Amino acid sequence: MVRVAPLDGKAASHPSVRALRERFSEGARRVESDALGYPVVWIDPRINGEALRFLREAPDQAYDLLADLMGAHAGIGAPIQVWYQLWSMAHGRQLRIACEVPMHDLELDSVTDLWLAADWLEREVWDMYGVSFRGHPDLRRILMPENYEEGFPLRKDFPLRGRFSRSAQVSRALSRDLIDIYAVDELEMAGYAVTDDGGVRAPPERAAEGGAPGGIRDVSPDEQPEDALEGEPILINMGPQHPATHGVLRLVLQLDGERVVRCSPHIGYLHTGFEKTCEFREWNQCVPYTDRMDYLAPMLYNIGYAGAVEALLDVEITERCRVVRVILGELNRILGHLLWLGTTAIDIGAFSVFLYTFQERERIYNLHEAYTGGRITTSVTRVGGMMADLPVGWTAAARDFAATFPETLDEVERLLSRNAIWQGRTMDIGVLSADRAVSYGVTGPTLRASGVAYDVRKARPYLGYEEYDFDVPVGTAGDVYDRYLVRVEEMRQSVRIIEQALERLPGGPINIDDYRIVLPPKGEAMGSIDTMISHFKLVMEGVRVPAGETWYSIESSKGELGFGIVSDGGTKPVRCRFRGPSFINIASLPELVRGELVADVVAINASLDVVLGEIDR
Amino acid sequence: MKPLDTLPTGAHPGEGRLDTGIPHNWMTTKLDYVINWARRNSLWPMPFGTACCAIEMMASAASKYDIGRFGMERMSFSPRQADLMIVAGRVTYKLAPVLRRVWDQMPQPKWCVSMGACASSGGMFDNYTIVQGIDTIVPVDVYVPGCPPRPEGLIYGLLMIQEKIKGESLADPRARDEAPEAVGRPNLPPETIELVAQPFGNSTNQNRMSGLGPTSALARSRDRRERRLEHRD
Amino acid sequence: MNPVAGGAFALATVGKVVLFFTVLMLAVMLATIFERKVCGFMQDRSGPNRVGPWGLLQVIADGIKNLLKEETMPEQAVRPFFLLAPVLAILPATILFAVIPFASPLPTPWGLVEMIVADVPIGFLYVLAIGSIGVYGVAMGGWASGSKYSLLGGLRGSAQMVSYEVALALSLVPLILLTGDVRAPEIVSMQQTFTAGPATYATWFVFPLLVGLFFFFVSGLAETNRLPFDLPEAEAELITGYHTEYSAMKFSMFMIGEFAHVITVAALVTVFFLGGWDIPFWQGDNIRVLSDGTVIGEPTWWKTLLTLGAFGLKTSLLVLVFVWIRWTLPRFRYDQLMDLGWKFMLEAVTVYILVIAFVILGIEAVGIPAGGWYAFVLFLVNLALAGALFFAMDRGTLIRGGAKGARSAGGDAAQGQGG
Repeated sequence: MVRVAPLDGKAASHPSVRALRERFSEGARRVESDALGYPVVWIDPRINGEALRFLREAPDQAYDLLADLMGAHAGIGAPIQVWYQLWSMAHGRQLRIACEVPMHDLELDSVTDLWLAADWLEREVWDMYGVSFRGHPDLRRILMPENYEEGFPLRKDFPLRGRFSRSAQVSRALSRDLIDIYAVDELEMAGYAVTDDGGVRAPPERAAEGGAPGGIRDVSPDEQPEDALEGEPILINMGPQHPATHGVLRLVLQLDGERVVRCSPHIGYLHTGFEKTCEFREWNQCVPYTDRMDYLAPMLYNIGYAGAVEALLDVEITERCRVVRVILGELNRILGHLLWLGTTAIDIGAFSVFLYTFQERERIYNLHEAYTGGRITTSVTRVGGMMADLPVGWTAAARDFAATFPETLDEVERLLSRNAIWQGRTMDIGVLSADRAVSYGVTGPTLRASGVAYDVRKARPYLGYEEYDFDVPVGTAGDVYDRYLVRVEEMRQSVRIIEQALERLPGGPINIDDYRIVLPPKGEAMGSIDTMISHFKLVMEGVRVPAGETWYSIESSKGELGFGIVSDGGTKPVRCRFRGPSFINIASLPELVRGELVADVVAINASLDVVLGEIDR
Repeated sequence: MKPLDTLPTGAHPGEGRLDTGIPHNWMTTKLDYVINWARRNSLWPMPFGTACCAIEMMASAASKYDIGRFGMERMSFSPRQADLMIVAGRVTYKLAPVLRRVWDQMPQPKWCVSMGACASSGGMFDNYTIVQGIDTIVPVDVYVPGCPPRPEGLIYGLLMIQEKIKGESLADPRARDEAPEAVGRPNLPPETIELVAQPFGNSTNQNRMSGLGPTSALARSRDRRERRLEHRD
Repeated sequence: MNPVAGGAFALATVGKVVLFFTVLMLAVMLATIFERKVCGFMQDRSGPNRVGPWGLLQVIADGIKNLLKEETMPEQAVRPFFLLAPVLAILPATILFAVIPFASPLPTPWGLVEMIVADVPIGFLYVLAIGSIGVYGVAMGGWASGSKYSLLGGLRGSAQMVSYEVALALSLVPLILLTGDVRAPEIVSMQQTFTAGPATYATWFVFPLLVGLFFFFVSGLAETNRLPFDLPEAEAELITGYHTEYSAMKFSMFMIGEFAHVITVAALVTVFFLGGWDIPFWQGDNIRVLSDGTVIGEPTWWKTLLTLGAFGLKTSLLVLVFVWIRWTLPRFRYDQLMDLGWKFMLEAVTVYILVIAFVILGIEAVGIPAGGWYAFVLFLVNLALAGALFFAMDRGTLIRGGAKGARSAGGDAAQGQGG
């Protein structure tokens, strides 16, 4: 069973904890403290809906951002834990509600009516752990195929490589009935009748052919509108292999002419099983997995992951390491935003911008390569420090980049910002109001474009961000154009931060000197028997992280990047949860594109800046 | 375990044979030369990009590396117009039927590059969701190693495809065989798939836990299928 | 020397057709490689450079490859129309060239050969008539493919081409007002300086009809489905639009058709507004064949070559502008495009026709004869109109994003919040 850091006075005096205790005396008995210090309230699974409603709606609580909703499983036979990670914009408070759901009664109240973000998150918990949510409107698999038969992957009794043999997995995948691949809502759109118990009945004219939805005529005659002049809506399938979905996202669009009536995003085509695989890797071996999740800004993931494990270890990294991480993180924010800018420009038709931004990306790749040897897959951090110290001359190169990069940005802005077609294509498109954005759990530049100045770097500063002078750009309209402006401005702010960080970069060691955590220098390892033993144990077993749990987050280029990590004191994580901001941001797409044109779908999808590696994990 | 040299060579029956048994004459060789010249210099790629490798593929097309030099800058997002499928990134079992379908939609002659470790072998993801090498689904002509390969690596792989095309002959009827009945079936026999998916390297500390009881997911999915069948009748 | 007649005329025409088709196909090939090289240059790349000198043979490689590639026939395609569509895409673009004069007349032992395939009396009305057939290729290809992406592309294409057809035709009305003739050779002559024969304007029509050129060029961009009007084949949304399902040579035919169309539009702009084959600041090339057969000026073979070069140069520069626009601008959205066509271009062109008509009426009432001063007055009027036009078309007033109106008028959205 997982032990948790002892409760200190600060967590017990948290206003929400007191209120919860008063209101649900029996239900909220256990209060613990996260490794970062904020309280964790363990509640009875039978009252989860009630307690969360109280926290969401009571004016002195007002937890309006459901940052994360995740499951965790400590071992075979143990109950499934479900964590609700909350943040209150108004009060600036963080809180975690957790419940243990026994295996014989895997059911909780759905909170989709409190936070729109809960929709996909609950589906993910169902998909991965088999916890069902009472009152969820559409509880079905999200990452795994709709007809996945091998079980719930993140449970501890599920083998890493699945239950079936490899050949069975391949032939099952290839021989899937088309109807299995289509989801219930698409079948409904295509005129298939879906019965209450989950069965599917083909529309009359197609039942004879036994065909799958795919033809041009898609709506069954009895569903056709009365007025024949209105015509019938068509269903088009965008993706998973489509130039504008930025990966293998699949959008099923129901169109009336070119106007979107309904959009149903399908994800999971790139579900790589990071979270499961990390449970079989040592703490430092997980680092290479993190950069393959967000391959547009890999170092941000490295940095966030290392920060989370260090929070569990309760170690303080060196000042030099902290500043280096800030520099690398901001460089990667630029890297991610540049790719966003280029691909969005392609989607709106301006191809050349993509090549201009890629030239700047190549310069950042050169910096990556000089330091880590890799262009994209950097794996730069280690628990307690970095893989190595910066090479000679690197800071000069970084300074040069920071000095010259804004020129290219100006050029690109000259091409786009005041371009009539660009403005026409982006202004007033995909408008997301501040309330809806927060309810959807949208974070990052997309949220800030809607006018909410929530930036983890300011709200809960990490890596000493409070010492840097930078602004958080905020939009007013919340449309695609504002997202564009906010991201461009963020790149400029990142340059400011990089310049300040390079200015203050101190000397000294980059790694901490605790040889139970970081590898000792080779000379020392050969010289003293103690160090040699630490070296041996680190290489053979890996870092040991004390039992505990934390949910730690940083501001990545896409939004709030959370790491929910559980350790049982061993050398491998028990649970390694990555809260990819893209996963949550993309869930707002159906609402944003409703009533817009097909061309806008492409622009809006691009403006959310999603990376499929992070959505599907 | 079977030794590796007993592996079948691939889906094309004629593949891997140097001597086709067909006499060459001046006409066919000259014609072959011209056709192969045209084909290898006009490879329009179908970018099947999924993950990190797709970003390097984009970098290959961008200013610094510019595969446009070889006449390949016309990325053909419609498989109908493509000659070369570049599978860049990890392919999951959920994506496998899509990959197969896109490949089947491409007109002959066509070639396939498996870019990166994940596409070629599953890479560092030896788990429940990643296909352990796309050659279990589609025939692959060139494997580009790397995680992800640098643009130079991809360009080298593309040049190898060009080399391969140089050696082809129109007169060989088996060169571009395609089995229509194989659509929707794995590209390799089951025992080979098992063989290539054996644990290796760092993954030896993982083992398959089998014989566990059915979960409710199994029950739910099976129920749904059965109910659906009832409705169909 | 008299124009050729009889059997010599027939032979000369056949020769011109053959020569002309070859040159056009060659020009299409050059245009494709030109586009790829220019876009490479604009994007700091080298573009194709491995096949032949400077990659010039790239197009030939593409052509041979596509010729030998498997032709696919989608299961749901409607076979006859699916096969007919590429033909209809390529045909109008090539036969349009028949009425374009591309050099000064060539003297031969059998008489004077005019460098135009068919000097039809209906002139550019033929251009408008044939040009509108092009829409069938797009619509048919999109519909017959049996794919929804193609269908959407085809629908967009037909709507767009039909809409801009109107503006295209109307933008040539001021030209008729000015010249009183629709024959292309006559329009070229009108832009040259002559001391004898009917009066001319002594200047290229780009000056007296500046705004008309703008309308014609924009409509031409839309007619050829080039960025920013490439919605029928918008890559980001519709893969490649109406030709998504076409493979091999059928696809190539669509591409050839598109480029032939681009060259045709560039040639038409040259003829109508840039003096055709006229070489500026040189009066030696001023050769005119009047309708009664009298020839003004001295035609020689080297003048024919020189003027041919001038025509080629002007046309390629216009193709360069096409390419330049393509790799610079983003793409319109479908409704914005239709709005621009029906709610702006149509009205603006109509107003322009009226203004030009009244100005011409005024000039003639004042008594200025056709010639330099006549053109100059019109030029001043056009300058004023152009100013008004670009003011009206400025950002925000013409193209609007959504109708939700979340954005209040003006003002920069992003603002720093204190750190």
